[in-house]
Amino acid sequence: MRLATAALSLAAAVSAQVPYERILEARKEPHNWLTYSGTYDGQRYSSLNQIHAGNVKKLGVAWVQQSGATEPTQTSPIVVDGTMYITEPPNVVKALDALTGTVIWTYKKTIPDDLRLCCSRVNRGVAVLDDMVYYTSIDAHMIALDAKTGRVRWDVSFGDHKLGYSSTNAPLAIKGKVITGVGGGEYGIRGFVDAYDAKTGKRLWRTHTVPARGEPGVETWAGKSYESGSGSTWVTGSYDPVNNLVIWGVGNPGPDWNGDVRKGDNLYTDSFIALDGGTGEMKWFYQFTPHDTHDWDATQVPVLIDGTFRGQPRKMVATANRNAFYYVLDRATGKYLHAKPYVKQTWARGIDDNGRPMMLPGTDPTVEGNLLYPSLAGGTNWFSPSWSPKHNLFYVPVREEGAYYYKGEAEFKPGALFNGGGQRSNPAEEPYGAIRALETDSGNLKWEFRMKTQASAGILSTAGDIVFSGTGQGDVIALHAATGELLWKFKGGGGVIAAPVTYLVGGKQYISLAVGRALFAFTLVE
Amino acid sequence: MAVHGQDEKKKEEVVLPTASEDLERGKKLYDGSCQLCHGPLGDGGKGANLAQAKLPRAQTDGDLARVIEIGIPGTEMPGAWHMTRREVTQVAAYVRTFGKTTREAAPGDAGRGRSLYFGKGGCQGCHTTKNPEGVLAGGLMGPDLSVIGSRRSVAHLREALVDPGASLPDYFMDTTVSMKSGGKINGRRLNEETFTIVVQDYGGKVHVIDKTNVAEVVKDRKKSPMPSYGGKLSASEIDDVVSFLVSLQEAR
Ligand code: HEC
Ligand code: HEC
Repeated sequence: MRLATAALSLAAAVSAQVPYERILEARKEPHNWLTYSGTYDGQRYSSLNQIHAGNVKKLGVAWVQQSGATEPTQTSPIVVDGTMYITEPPNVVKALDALTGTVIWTYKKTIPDDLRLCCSRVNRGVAVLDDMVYYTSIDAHMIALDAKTGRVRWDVSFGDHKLGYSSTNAPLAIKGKVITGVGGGEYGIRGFVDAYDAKTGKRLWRTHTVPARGEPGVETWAGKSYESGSGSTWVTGSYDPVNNLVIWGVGNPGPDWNGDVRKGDNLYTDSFIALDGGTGEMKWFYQFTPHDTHDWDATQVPVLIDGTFRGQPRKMVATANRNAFYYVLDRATGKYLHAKPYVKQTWARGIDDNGRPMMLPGTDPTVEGNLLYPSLAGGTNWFSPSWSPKHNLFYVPVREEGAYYYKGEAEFKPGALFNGGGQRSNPAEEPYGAIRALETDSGNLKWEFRMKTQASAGILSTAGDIVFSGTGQGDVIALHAATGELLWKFKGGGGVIAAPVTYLVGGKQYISLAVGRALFAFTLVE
Repeated sequence: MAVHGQDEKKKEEVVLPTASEDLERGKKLYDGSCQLCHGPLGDGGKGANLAQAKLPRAQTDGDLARVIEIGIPGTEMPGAWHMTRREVTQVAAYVRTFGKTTREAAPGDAGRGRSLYFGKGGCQGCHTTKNPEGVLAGGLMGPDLSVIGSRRSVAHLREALVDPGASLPDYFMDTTVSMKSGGKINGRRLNEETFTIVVQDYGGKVHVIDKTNVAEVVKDRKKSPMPSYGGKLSASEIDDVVSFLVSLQEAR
């Protein structure tokens, strides 16, 4: 029986085709997981409810896929009709049978050994469209693979790795195009969002996140500081098909911790930007942290919500930003609607009616070190949040921690680190983490689940009233979506630095999440 | 994101700056990033004594710059990844000024200190040191002291004897776990996770405790099970023990 279903799912994989229309309507096929966040809206919510609050205690391991790499697995799997597509560090894409974990094919990119990376050779997943799988490699190439065989269809470079350009994000596939951001914010790169022709790999548009001389916004950069302004875009954005808007988060200005050399607001760093899907033209932007000196990238997944705001129906973008505030914006215009801190912060008195933070004095890094909340890793970071339409709650993985921020020298040399300082932790304090549930329109705390260490994993919420996530010390956890009560846990034995997904194959629902260097699939066991 | 440098760490000639602006800048950087462990004059605290003419791990200026840049893996000495190369050399130049002033010498008699350590002090009951054959011997409640003289300053060693709770090493946290059922476990925290805490009580027994059975966890960052020797040993005996500890050096 088991063999027969495995064979069936393989057969299904061979004929899998994922036209744009299927991704657009991904909500209608909850047995699949078709984009990084599951759906274009970035909600990481599933209507599957075979696994629910009442039976989740019976979850057990169905299979494990080990990577053999030294870096952790951070992939968020894609699942199409019984086939799963994942990435593994430092350069691997795999297709697996989603039922058994059997490897169908493996692709390995040849990567250079003179990479310039701030962090490590990680990757967060692929995109699918029609009969292709799209992958961005650590050396900033976009690669299209044949979904059935893993053979390369095209491979284009989108940045010079010797200058610090890199990539870790899962691309985003929309109609006829595949979109990616770029990493390298610690190297003074010039950030952008790119769109490629899905069939040929021809670049269709590139929108820079830092203006050039003569372009609007360049006046927010003192002198020629825009030439090394960074503004990386290293986390997958969301897509609003109604307005044809690609909404993407932009990272910190360069150098990170020394703002003296780049006086001004430093547009469009630390912003959400909304780009026309057809042309890449910037339709709106909202900057969370003007003139950031704390590395507070706005590279979080924008969560697109059709809900109610102050009693009125409203199309919103919600996000918990690295700077410690939860924000609600208008989706069509980017207009600021509301903000509220979701973790301890000591840098702003609040956000004014125009959406500009009211800065407290003395918050800049100093040569001697200046204690400030949150730390440079932020109140949250790139870890996916989740929004449940069923509970109208925004779930965010948080880090409660301050740090002493240093200001250092900042001299730009192409291809060299361009930090201008850093941080050290506060020895007087044990930091901690939590999963917090916020009310969508107010950001008020509904519940929290405390963890010993700062959060590092993303969140999945389901119609089975469950919130899935993980801890920095290797626990996979299931919480009640309405109350935060712990329903189930599993010791995976490695920090969880990835986001869970769910799918259905052979009539059974699975939860898949990477723990340490291995990808796990869980299902109900008798 | 956090940054870890990756190249330019190869052996190379390093020339430390000598201009007064560089030393001033080096001092500021030192005060911000190093003083916490090495003390304001480089001679005190959790970190090694830097007020020596020859630093065992940093004999050449190149080694010194490298130690500062990447830290000493496996110890509490962190890498200063947030500094540029020039800043590293400025700090290094400032560190070298410590070696030119005479540090607080170990004032006692190491031989007598040795007798006190193994005799009246009862230190061996809680600490390991290497015996003449190079074999670790002693009790396990306190840290290994085999090379403590290379790691800690005179001031810190004296403080450890007189006021043990004043500056605890990172790995030591006195923890009291009150169980819902009523009992209490007091000892050193070996590990703590979201659902579990592991405590070794001062009798040596290890407890793996499910937090759902726990009413309260109290951590005391200022409490050490080591008795204060301020009243137990005379001032000159303390000097002797400190001198003995200073003589426990890493083989070079
Ligand atoms: C968190 C505490 C801590 C901080 C902060 C720290 N150090 Fe250290 N350092 C240590 C410890 C502990 C050692 C001894 C390591 C060992 O050998 O076990 C050490 C060793 C050293 C050594 C080697 C000394 C020798 O014996 O050869 C040098 C040099 C040094 N540190 C310089 C610095 C400088 C410069 C800074 C600031 C940029 C700094 N340290 C910051 C804890 C620290
Ligand atoms: C009852 C057990 C006990 C006895 C007896 C004891 N110690 Fe300790 N000692 C500890 C513990 C536990 C620590 C770690 C916590 C702390 O730093 O106080 C420690 C820490 C130290 C440290 C600091 C180590 C570091 O890394 O900074 C030194 C030095 C030290 N002891 C020396 C001695 C000497 C010398 C004696 C005898 C005169 C002695 N101890 C007796 C338990 C003991």
